[in-house]
Order: sequence, then C-alpha cells, then structure tokens
Amino acid sequence: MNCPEEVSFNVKDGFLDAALRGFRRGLISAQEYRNLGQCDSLDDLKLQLVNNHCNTDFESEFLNETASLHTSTFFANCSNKLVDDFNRIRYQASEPVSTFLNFLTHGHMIDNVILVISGKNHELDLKVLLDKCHPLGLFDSISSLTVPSTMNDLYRLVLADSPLSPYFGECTSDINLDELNLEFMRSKLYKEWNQEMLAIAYLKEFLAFCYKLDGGTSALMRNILYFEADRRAINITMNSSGIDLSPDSRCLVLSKYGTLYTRGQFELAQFEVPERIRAAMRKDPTFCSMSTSLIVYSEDFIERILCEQEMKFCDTTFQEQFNYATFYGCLKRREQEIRNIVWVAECISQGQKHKVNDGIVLNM
Amino acid sequence: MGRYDDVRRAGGLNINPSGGIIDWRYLAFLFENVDPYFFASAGVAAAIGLSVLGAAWGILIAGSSLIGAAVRTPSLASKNLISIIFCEAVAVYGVVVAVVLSTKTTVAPIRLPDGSYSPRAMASGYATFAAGLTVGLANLFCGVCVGVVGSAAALADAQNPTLFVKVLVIEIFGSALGLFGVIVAIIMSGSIDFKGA
Repeated sequence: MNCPEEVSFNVKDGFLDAALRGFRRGLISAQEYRNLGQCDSLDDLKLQLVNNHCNTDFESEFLNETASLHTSTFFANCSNKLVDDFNRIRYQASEPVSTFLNFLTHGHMIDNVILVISGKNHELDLKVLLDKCHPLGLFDSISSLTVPSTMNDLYRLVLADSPLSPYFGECTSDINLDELNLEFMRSKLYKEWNQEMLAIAYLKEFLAFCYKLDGGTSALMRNILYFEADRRAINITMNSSGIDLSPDSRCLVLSKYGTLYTRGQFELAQFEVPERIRAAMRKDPTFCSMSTSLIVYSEDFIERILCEQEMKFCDTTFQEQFNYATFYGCLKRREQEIRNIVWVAECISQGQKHKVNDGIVLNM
Repeated sequence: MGRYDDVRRAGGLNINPSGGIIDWRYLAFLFENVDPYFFASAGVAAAIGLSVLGAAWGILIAGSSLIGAAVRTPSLASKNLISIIFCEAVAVYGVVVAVVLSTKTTVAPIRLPDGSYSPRAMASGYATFAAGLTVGLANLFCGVCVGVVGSAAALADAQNPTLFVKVLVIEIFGSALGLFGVIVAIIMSGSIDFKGA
C-alpha cells in the first residue's frame, strides 16, 4: 500500500478522476457568460443554454420544460442535473472515494436539517420546506424531522440513524454551556449557533478523514477546509455584527482551527467596526491580498471576494493529479455555476442586465 | 562434484567459520556451481517479464484515465491511443532483447573435470543475466513513466485540447528511456559466447 500515488492511484480511481476533468471542460466560460447576459428573455436564455456553444449539461433537462419559465426552474433543472452527475460518480466510486463523496453531501444535509427545524419553529408547511432543501442534502428520514419536539428527542429518534449523527453527537455532548446557550437564544442567533456548531463538527470530521488519505489529498484538502472554516468565522462575525454579544462567547462559535484561528480570530471576535475584520484578515497571507482589495466595505463585497478565493482553491485542485480534492473542487465549481446561471436569469427577468457581470464568480 | 568433495575432505562443511551472518566463501562456492545456462535463462525471463510488467502497468495507468476522460469527450479516445501505443512499445523492446538473448544461449556448457565451468561459459551466463535485468528494469520504470505521463496527457486533453501536443513531447522523451536500456543490453550481449566455451 505504500507505493507512490502515481503508480497506485489510477488502479481504483483513475477513471472517476479523469471523468471529472471532462465535467470541468463543460463549465461555462467567461465569454459564454457574456453571451448569456445578452439574452432578452428567459426563453432566450434557455435556448442559449441548450445551444451547443454553451454547456450541454442542461440540454436534456430543458427540452422537457414546457411550462412558463421562472428563475427557480433554472435552479431546479441545473441542480437535478448536478445531482444526477454526482450520483453517477458516487455509484461507481469505491472506498475511500465513496466516503469522501458522502462527506461532500453532509454539508448540505446540515443546512437542510437546520432549515427544516427552524422552519418548523415558524410553523411552515413541511412540503414547502422540503422543496427549499438542497437536493444533494436530502436523506431518508428528513421528512420525519418535524415530528419530535425537543432537541434530545430529535437526536435520539431521527438523527441517530442518519449520516449526521456523529456531528450532532458531538454538539449535544458539548452543550453543557446552558447559560451560553441562553445568551445565544436571547440574541436570536440560535439558528446560526446550531448551524455553526454542526458545521464545525463536520469540518473537523472531514479534515480528520482527509488526513488519513494520501499526501496530496490531505495537503490540498487541508488548505480548502481551513479556508472554509475561516470563511464561516468571517460570515458569523458579519451576521452577528448588530447583536450584543461578548467577545468570549463569540469566540466559542468560531471554529477552533483554520488559518485565522491562530492569527486573527480574536480580533474577529471583537469585531465591531468594519476596520476590525480587515485587521484580522491582514494577519494571514491567504486573506492579506483580499483585505487590500476591500476598499469598499460591504457584506456582499466580502462575500464575493471569499467566493472568488474559494473558486481559486477549487481550481488549484485541477492542477494536480492523483488526489481526491478534485472531487471537492469539481462539485463546488458546478454549484457556483448554478448560482451564476440563477443570477443571470434573475438579472434578465428583472430587467437589470447591466448588473449581470457583478454577480458572476468564476476563475478560469 | 570435485570441489565439493575437496571442501568436505578438508574438515566437513563448516557452516560459517568466519562467524558473520553470511558465509561469503560458501555463497561464492554455491554460485560457482550454478549452471551458467540457468543464469542465461533467468536473464531472458527477466527481460521479457519485467518489460511486460512495466508495459501493462503503464497501460493500466494511462488507460483508466483515458477511458474516464473520454466519457465527456469521446473524440479524445482515438487521439490518446498513442499513449497506449507508447506503453506497448516498451513491451516490444523487452521482446526484442529477449529474442536476441535466447538465440545466443544455444549450447549447454559442459562441466570441467573439477566440477566447475569454464570462465568463458560463466561470463556468458552472467552477461546474459545482466543484460536481461538491465532491459527488464529499464523498461519497467519506463513503462510506468510513460503511463503516468500518458494519463496526464489524457487529462490535459480533456481540460484543454491545445495542451495535448505539448504533453506528447514529454511522453516521447519518457519512452526514449527504455531505449537506453535496450542499447546497453545489446552491447552487453555482444560478449555472450556459449559455443566457444
């Protein structure tokens, strides 16, 4: 088992790895986005997408669509296609790729669980909620999430059997911090708090799994997951900016690893003015270049810069061969592509075509 | 078995008189008594066996990537068959050298009265073995090298077709490595002479 990856990787995973490169070629390029932006109506956009010049990924999906077009149709069609492709890859995968791919869906599962639970608290219809869930993150018992009434029952009855049980297990055991919990509850951050704790547990497990894999995978995934943790830290800081929380309790929500953890997280936790976040980011080489481009401070802008950075990371996975990070990179690129298409569709349907280029994130 | 008897008469086979882990004198004695024809045959086996192992491994590496990349871009399959052919060439080198070596190992050498073989025959046996090992190992690693580069060529082609020719140049250099082994093996095989022994 100790032979170099170059020699042994392709025996099991060469086919899937190469298949992903094909997907990457199918991604819509900057030029093609410009062409898409020229469309006058959603019907035009659909034709353009079906057209061979663009990504043929959508072809079969769109031809069946006869009803009037909404932006949500674009989202639904594209994500269905993504889920199809993902599952096709997953069914052919053997260990440890299949576990790796399962990890990729867990992030969406967590989001879905939080969505359903918080939707239930606001007494929304289950069917509406399930429609809103990301299709990659659906699992068998998700519809029974609304049955239990307490967090303990929820874990015991529903989540213990789901793939998410390890993360919840870690979270619920961690919650002996009742006062803190209350503080978050009062501050209306309860949803974010849960989601954040889960996501951190998830990233931790994922990282531990990646460390067990070969050198190339763990090195690349370490960078990516550290960045993901940092991104969450920045996001939660921005979301909680208007809320009165002590820096200490804020630190607890932030992940305990990542490049910002050692260097700038405390500044981040004390974040009150926009300057602070920049100061925290400047301490880390990855974020340093970004913080200098943060001339205009706004949440959207930071969001966009972080997104671009993530796409850069995803692209580097394609520069290397014989590792599993490509699977992660490919999935994220496809998800971003869907967001881009939805943005274009949104711009067209609202008649704001001049904004098309503002929302598209890509890095070729 | 003359020499063996000599050793026995001189006080029996005293295993390891020097006290080390390996008794080198006894080992040398064993080697001297191995038939040079065995070395020659082992050389031929190494030449073809290791070469085919390298070629097969290379095809495995390049082929799996090629098939995967061809899922979305079928046109790439025929173009990238050249990688497979390069790997195949590695096995052909092994076949060529194995044929050359085995045609030279014709007459079984005769033992001299004291049980050993003539220096000529022993030199021929060792030369055949070394030539076979040279070409075998050279082609084993050459095959893996061409396979890895070939799989990179398929992946590069899938992402950006203009890269194909550039990677192909690297692949050609890789496949030249096996040829070096072949040249050295052919030169070595020039000293093989079982008939004159």
